[in-house]
Amino acid sequence: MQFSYNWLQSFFPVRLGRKQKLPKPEELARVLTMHSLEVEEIGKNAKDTLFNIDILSNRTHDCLSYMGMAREIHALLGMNLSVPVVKYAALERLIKIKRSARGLRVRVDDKNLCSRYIGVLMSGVKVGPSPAWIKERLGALEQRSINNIVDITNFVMLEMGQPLHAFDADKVDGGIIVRRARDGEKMTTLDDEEVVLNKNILIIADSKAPLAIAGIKGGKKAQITETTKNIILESANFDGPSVRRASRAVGIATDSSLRFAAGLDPNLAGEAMARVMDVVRTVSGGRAVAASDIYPKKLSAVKISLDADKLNAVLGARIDIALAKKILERLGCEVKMKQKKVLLVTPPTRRLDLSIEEDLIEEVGRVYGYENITSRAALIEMALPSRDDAVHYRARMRDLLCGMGFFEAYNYSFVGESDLELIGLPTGRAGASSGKNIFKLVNPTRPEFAFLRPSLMFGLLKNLKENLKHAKDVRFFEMGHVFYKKESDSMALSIASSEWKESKEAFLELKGALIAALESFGVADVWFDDAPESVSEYDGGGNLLHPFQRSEIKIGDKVLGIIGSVHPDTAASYKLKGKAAVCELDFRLLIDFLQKENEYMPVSKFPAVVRDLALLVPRDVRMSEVSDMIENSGGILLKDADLFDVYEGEEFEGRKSFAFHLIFQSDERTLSDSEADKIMENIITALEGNVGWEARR
Amino acid sequence: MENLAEIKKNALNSIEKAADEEALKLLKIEYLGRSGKLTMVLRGLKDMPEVKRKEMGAKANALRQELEGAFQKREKDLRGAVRAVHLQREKIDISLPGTKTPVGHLHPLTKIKNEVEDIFVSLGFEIVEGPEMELEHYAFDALNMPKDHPAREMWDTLWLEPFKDRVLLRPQTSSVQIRYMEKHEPPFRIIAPGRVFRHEATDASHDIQFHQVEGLAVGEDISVANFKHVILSFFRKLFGKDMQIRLRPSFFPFVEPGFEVDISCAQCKGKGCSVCKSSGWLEVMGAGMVHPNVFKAAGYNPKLWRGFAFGVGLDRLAMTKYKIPDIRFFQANDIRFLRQF
Repeated sequence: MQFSYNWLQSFFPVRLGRKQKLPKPEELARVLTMHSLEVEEIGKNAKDTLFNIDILSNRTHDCLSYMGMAREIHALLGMNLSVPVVKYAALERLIKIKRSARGLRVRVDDKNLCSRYIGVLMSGVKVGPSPAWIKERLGALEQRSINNIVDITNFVMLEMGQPLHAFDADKVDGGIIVRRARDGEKMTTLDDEEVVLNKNILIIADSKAPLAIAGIKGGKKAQITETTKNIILESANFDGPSVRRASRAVGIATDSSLRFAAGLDPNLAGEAMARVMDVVRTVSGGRAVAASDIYPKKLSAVKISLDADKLNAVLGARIDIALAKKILERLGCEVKMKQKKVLLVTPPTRRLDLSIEEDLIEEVGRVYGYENITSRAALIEMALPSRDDAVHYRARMRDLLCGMGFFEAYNYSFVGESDLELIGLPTGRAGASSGKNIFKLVNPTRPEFAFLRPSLMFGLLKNLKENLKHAKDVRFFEMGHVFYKKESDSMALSIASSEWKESKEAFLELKGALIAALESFGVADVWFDDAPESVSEYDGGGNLLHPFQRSEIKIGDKVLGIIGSVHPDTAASYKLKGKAAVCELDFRLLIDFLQKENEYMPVSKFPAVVRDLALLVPRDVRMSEVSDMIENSGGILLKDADLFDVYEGEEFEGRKSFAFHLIFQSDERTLSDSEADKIMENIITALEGNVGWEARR
Repeated sequence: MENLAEIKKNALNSIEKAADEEALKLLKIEYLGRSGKLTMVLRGLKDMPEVKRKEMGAKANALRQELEGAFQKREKDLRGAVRAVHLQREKIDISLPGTKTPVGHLHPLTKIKNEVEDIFVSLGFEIVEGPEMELEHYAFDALNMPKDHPAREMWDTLWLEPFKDRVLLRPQTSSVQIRYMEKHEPPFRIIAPGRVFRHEATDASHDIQFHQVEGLAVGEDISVANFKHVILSFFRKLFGKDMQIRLRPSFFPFVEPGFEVDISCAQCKGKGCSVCKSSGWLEVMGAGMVHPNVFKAAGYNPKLWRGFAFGVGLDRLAMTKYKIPDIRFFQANDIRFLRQF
């Protein structure tokens, strides 16, 4: 809210012949920021300084007003506060004596939504332009002057924080009725906007039509005009949540609705009514002739104990109990000594935010000043914090992948329908219901972000695309949460190059990188299995991955994830200028297989014997079938079978050639050539037992 | 037969003059070979009378050793000279670029997260994690924000369908507080880094997703003074010893008292600049003493335990520390940006 420095100064007038000057604007702003509420901006014009103060939601009920801010200044600086005289007793008398005497009938149908309603009928007012002093106050805050009556209600709202309203009494049919609107009931606002109401919206009505949306906006029907003679002033208390909902429902937010939404002290309604009556009478003449105050459950003050030991324990300070008492009294609380070190505090009802001891501790702490609390190390137990495996291994994996040339990406957790359609995941017209697998947002910020990402691959594909515009080779990884059936912890790698001719190259490059990464964590028994053609966890069986260049990543029979070249159609729709491959793994599953303990294995002291083996096999035979057979027939002296060449030439007529280095080694002796030759013979015999398999000698 | 003195003189002279290893090799044969000059002398000893033989023998052997030493030394010198020429020929242009090794880079948000985590771990905090898709209970109700609480408006929340299930994307990492307390007994100190989401318009300083680190310390005697100590240590380790902090009152429903923590502007050292809107301070953290209702919601007795909690935005810290002008750069994943970290 904007606050005028001059108006604030007016609450601290000359007293006993002594001027009370507010500190300079910058200093006042500093004090308020450090002890009350943040002054976000200081603006100056020729005559005045304006503060933009951020009134937080726990202080809206008292500080969104000049009185509230002046009270804060009083509490912080100790200057003598002079508040406008409120002739509340006069109002009370009127309420008692003249109820229903001169035709002001008020009925409140829903007392849960309207805890207090005061109506006052004033006759013989003269509507016209506002006097200069009101115009000046409102003008300082860039508030438009309308007429004296409307301006006065605005002025008193700014002054005291209580929204007020005025109706033209002669346009009201029958009495005032505070009730819920009927579904479909309509009202035209003061801004000539037609609003359709419903039964959750509280309205002020007469016997025929709505006069105002309670606490939000006045209606056209009983508008104050130049010819208005008699008015009904309203000062009421409406339920915060219901005003907030109604304000959202009708799409109208006003200074009034903002205040009611945050909650107000119903006792304030009385003071504000007394004040507004007084100002109206002074400025525009008129006489209060009838009043009604419906206030069935009076809000009374709470009593809270404040233990000085607890105060100092929470703050870590040494604040004297007398100082605490003085601070609370300046804030308007009634304070008594309950025991030697315990205060009994009664905050004013306008401080709706003060209800427990901790609230008082904050009040004392902030006025005392947090800068006056000396920082001190906590006495803590010696127990060391435990380590979360996921956190630890994720950090190590990140470092490792960076070392392998992968850049780390952070992508949005959202994808759009077009992404999901690409992989054939049903999104449904009406939402995620067509499969509980994909999570849809109720209120997405844009259509491309309508769903939670079921996989990290979408983001990475976009990253590859963008970076291939200026780089030949791109490698990315991402660690993050994905949402498919449930939330899970995922890790994905991607690789692309504009120089690769076939996507196979991308696949093998990525597979090699993945295996290297896993091996450095001691995961050696990972294997690659055919990915099922049907819908799978990661791929959706659609068009994301190449149908003949993809595989499930497994350890034992557990599926950790999937790897594959990007489908040419997907590459085209993502406009990828290169061949690319991606893989994604469930990180929590993977952690179970990461080697946490290492054990030394002696390195053989004896030399290894290396033999090469070239083998022709039918084209559909997989390398893994060949290497399995070599390992099974090689015996314990075969240490490794290392593929170093694959060749599929025309001259082999439907066959292809694999070439292996076979490494033989004993831990106990030097192997002879003849021993190695003998094992080679066994292996070749076993291999050639298959139709079409032929060792090339 | 030349006498020993003459052999010595000629041999040493020739060795010294030998031009290369080949010449030296021939010279060695000439003197020390099977029929070399000195060899012949040694061979002739057996024909000499005993007395003479002893004297000459000693001298000849001494000369043989001397010559062998001279040959060795000359050989080493000649080889060294040749090596020096070879090395010289291999001189390279050291300004040529090195062969490229592909190296990736951590995302700046990971970098800042690592720094933050390392500091808090050194201060005795444990790192914990929680879900991004959260129940309304943990995100709001248990944090002292029951339905219709005005403070709920502070977080414009992204909800998941069906709306009646009341599942949302967490608007702050504070939800981890309750999840952790439900399963652990105090005293403890934790931090919970993670991604959070808001329904809001994006611009250079706002995005619909960003990252926070939540902190929570609970014990029997935890105070605002302790909080100041932890947080001052944290910011000084992160930004340097000159860093100042200030606590000013603020409001978050799950703490009481609540503060906003400002750090002195690193850009202008507190003098006031465009980054800190001339105030000299940057707002970086919300914090406070845990509200008794939060302890109650987590099943703790608020009379027995006290604690402080704080939340700091990692994106904001990274932008401050690395001087990044736009929060949206973080999700763009341009390697020309990432390579700088």
